[in-house]
Amino acid sequence: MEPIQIIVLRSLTISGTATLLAALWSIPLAYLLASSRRFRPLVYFFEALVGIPTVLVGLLLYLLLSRNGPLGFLELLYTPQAIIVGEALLITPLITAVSYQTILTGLSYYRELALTLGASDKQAALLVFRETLPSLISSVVMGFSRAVGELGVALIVGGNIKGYTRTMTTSIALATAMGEYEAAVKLGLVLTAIAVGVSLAVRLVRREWGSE
Amino acid sequence: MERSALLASAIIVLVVIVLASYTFLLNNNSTIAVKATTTTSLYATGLLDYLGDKFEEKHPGVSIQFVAVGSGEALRRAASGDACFVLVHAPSLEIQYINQGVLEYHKIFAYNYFIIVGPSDDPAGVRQATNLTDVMERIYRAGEEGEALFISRGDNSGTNVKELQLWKMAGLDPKGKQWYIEIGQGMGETLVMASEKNAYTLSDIGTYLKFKKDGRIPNLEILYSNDTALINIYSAYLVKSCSGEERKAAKEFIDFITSDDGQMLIANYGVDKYGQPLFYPASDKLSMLESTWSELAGQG
Amino acid sequence: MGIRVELRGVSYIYPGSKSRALKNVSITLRNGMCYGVTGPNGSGKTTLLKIISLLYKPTDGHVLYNGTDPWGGDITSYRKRVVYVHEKPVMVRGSVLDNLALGLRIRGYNGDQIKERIERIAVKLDLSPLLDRNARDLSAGQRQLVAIARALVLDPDVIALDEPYSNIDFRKRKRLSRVVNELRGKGKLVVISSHDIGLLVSLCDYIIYLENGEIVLEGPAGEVYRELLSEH
Ligand SMILES: Nc1ncnc2c1ncn2[C@@H]1O[C@H](COP(=O)(O)OP(=O)(O)OP(=O)(O)O)[C@@H](O)[C@H]1O
Ligand SMILES: [Mg+2]
Repeated sequence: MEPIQIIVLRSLTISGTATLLAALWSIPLAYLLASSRRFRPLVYFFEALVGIPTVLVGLLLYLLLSRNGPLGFLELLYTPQAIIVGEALLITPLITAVSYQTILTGLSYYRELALTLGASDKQAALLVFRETLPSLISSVVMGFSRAVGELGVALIVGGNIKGYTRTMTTSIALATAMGEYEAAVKLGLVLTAIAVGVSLAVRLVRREWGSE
Repeated sequence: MERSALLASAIIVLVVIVLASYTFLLNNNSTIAVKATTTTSLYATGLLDYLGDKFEEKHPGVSIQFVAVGSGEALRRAASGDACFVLVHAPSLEIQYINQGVLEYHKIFAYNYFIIVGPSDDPAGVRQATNLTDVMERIYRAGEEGEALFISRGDNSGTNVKELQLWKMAGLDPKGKQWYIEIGQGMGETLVMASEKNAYTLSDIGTYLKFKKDGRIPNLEILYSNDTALINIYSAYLVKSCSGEERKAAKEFIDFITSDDGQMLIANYGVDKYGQPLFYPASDKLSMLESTWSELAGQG
Repeated sequence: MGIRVELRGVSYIYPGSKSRALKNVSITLRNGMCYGVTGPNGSGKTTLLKIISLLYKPTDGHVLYNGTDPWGGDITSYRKRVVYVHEKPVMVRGSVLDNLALGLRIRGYNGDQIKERIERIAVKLDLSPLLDRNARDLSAGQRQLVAIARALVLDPDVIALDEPYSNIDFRKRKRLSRVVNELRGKGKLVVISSHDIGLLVSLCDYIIYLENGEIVLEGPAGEVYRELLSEH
């Protein structure tokens, strides 16, 4: 077994990057969905996909990335980058759906406020973003928790390769398969501690920020 | 001001950590990365990582990366070009891929025996069985009488394929019976479930010994073993579509595990821990193994 | 230069709604005047004020500022001349000071100018003791006053106040009325909606009475008041 710290760090890096990536497109997407009624049906689509099984995402991505698959030439299969892409896709519906609600409320309050004070559309959007930021961060953290705790994608497109694509969850699965329950439980506790720690940190930041 | 200074330093620290993580964790720092698909049970014994480490010591710049799935899946993924070589133990499946022309350079590198395990009070009387057919019949009969359960991997793994062959050989079909439980999980999970439910199952010796020693399966015992019909043959193959440096390294790895040095490592693996070897080297009995392999491959 | 706001046949339908919240409303509002808008719940007062303050674009008809249609040109530059204060205003994160500075910052004023303007308006509306408070901890009435100050600090030409008195105590009402009078005196155009007709009559020059999105009665404050009294 690799040292647990390395695995934890690798997991955090992979899931963290996936989360940032997902946030990068999910939040603008949520803004788009919230600002125009025309896209409203898409919202239901994303809400419905929030609970998509991780294994399904992993499998679909595997079929795409496999050497014989349409994206096989990228040679991404069994790399950390493949996990990053997979997890980013996995949490996109979650971040989009939650941010959408936040931004929708934010728009009705803060966009109008900004306009009454003579803001341009861009300034208004900035104010909405600033005021909803704590809630947006919460939605991103929810995404991160799902990413760091998921197994299907990491196992199928990562391959659980020692020293390369082994993450906390795939380690837990392996340790369980090997009957090393102590190691599995230890990793599981670390994983839980991280999830709890992150959400506590966000809670603190939000309070410090003085948002409701 | 103080707050923004704090924020700035926090951001700097974060960036440094992230950059460091990227360089050291997500990059494959070796020049050649060779991917292999293999079976979960083989991987879970730790033998492959052990062999991989030894090989990498001698070949700096090469990293052997194992992806562990069921035998069937390992072959399928290798065939679709997602690995450069494959390590499996399911001759009847292997032959299909050989015939399709996707695998070559077949080398048998190890073997051991499958074992029939079950509850120590042995309600089916497997201990008294005279041969394998008798074993399967006894379990079947006890199952029908409601006195025994059988847990099947049900995952198209090498062990699962072997188990199905045993039923077929005895002329029995347990599929769909109430006492025949297919769980679609790895060997370890299957053993644990068998122990919990006082059931019979077929296992490879490696996983059994490991779980037994760690006290995970207190209710299970070896009830039938050392039958040549239960031989478990581990083979290595190169994937035809793999080429270049990777192929060269993969071939070197296969040559390494079948070399005298490699065979020694295999023979001694786990002895210190379990008091007996988990695998036998193939080199001593190569011709016997090859003919057995052909037989097993023909039984598909 | 003074300002004249005209509504010509304005109708408004909320997005996703079927019925018209305003129906064919035409009226001319001039600077130096205070207009009181009243009518039953849901009659369209808020909608009318938001049309005037260029927050909603008429579904039909036109709003004209000094004869030109802001929606046909640079709407932001027109929006800088008009403020609308919500009945239940929202506060942004931060102190009361931050909230008062919001519009000034949007307009690119520098720190000294911001400070000076805020001090002046805070004295006028008696908000000085509140400046360092967290804006989201304020009571409803305090919020309303802060929101009014946040708008007036921008020195707009048109001021639309939606039920500004609803949560304000007696003493502050008098102070607010003084401010409104002062604005009118300075040649601003003030529009106030309220259910308190008596208050509107005492404060404003002209009353607009809405029902079901239509102006059913309008005229100089005294006349409308007498008419309404005789009706009920
Ligand atoms: N966001 C909205 N979407 C759809 N319809 C709306 C919306 N806001 C208001 N309406 C409708 O438009 C009409 C006019 O509403 P408005 O808010 O202008 O009334 P109001 O006179 O201000 O009422 P109140 O005295 O209760 O404040 C009402 O019938 C209301 O139901
Ligand atoms: Mg209203």
